[in-house]
Amino acid sequence: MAQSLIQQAFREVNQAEGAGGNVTSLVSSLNVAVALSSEADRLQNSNPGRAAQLSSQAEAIATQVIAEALTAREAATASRQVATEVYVVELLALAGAGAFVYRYGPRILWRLWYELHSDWRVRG
Amino acid sequence: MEALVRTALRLEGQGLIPDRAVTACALGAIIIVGAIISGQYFLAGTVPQPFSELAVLGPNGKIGNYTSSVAAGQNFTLDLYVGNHEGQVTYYRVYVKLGNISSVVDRNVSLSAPPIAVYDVFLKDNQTVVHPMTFQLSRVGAEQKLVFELWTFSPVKDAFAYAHSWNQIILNVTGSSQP
Repeated sequence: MAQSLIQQAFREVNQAEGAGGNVTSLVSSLNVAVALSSEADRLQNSNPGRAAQLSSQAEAIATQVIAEALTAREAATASRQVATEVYVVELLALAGAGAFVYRYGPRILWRLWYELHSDWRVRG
Repeated sequence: MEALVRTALRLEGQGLIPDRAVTACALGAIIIVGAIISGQYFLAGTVPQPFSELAVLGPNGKIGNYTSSVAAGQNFTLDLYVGNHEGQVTYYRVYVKLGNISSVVDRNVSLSAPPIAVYDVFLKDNQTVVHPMTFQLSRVGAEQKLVFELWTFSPVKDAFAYAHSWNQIILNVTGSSQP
């Protein structure tokens, strides 16, 4: 049961990370859960009561990780949406700059050149 | 103004039209900036060659100088090193199996023997772990093979799969030194 929940939690963390979420603390929690589950397996025959207790703790942590991973994924999806919008705006701004340079660049260049060299005199 | 026209005409005569050249440079710079922005957007988080690391560390915390002889029934410890460069969080499982010198294990085939120990760990991308593992071998015999196999959990297949990475140590298990 604990192992199954841990695997499910990992799937959720994997998806949260894929969406761009920060999963550092979730990975630490998963390691705690898997260590508890391993210890529970080790004590299964020698101390079943303690094993059940550890297994229950592992399940609680895995359940918590699942909930937090869902939140992290939602936050990451919203953040990704913003990043996409920023990317589109940046591309549009660049395209606008390109069109401006193409249309007015030469005129601005010569005007600048003329302003900078307006004190030049032509020798006869 | 006359000088300006003369300069422009001279440059044009040399095959170089400054306003067009500068415009082309500016447009080229804009295209490069656009390519960089697009690259950052689309390639964020991708890893060109993902891989995982598995190693068994000797007494100095380095690969090699492993013990070659252990007493049956006595504990001995080896440090296991696992590294994640897969570009994502990975769920690793290391199976430790015992075989003999003729046991077959390679990149494609895992050892067909039951595990004597299992170590599970989750690692973020570019994270490594060194984990001490204590073993006790009961069967006396020469050239016993302690095999370490790296497996990864696939969320798609919902199962662990052999990650084509393995390590082995050949041990002579002698009679117990305890009286």
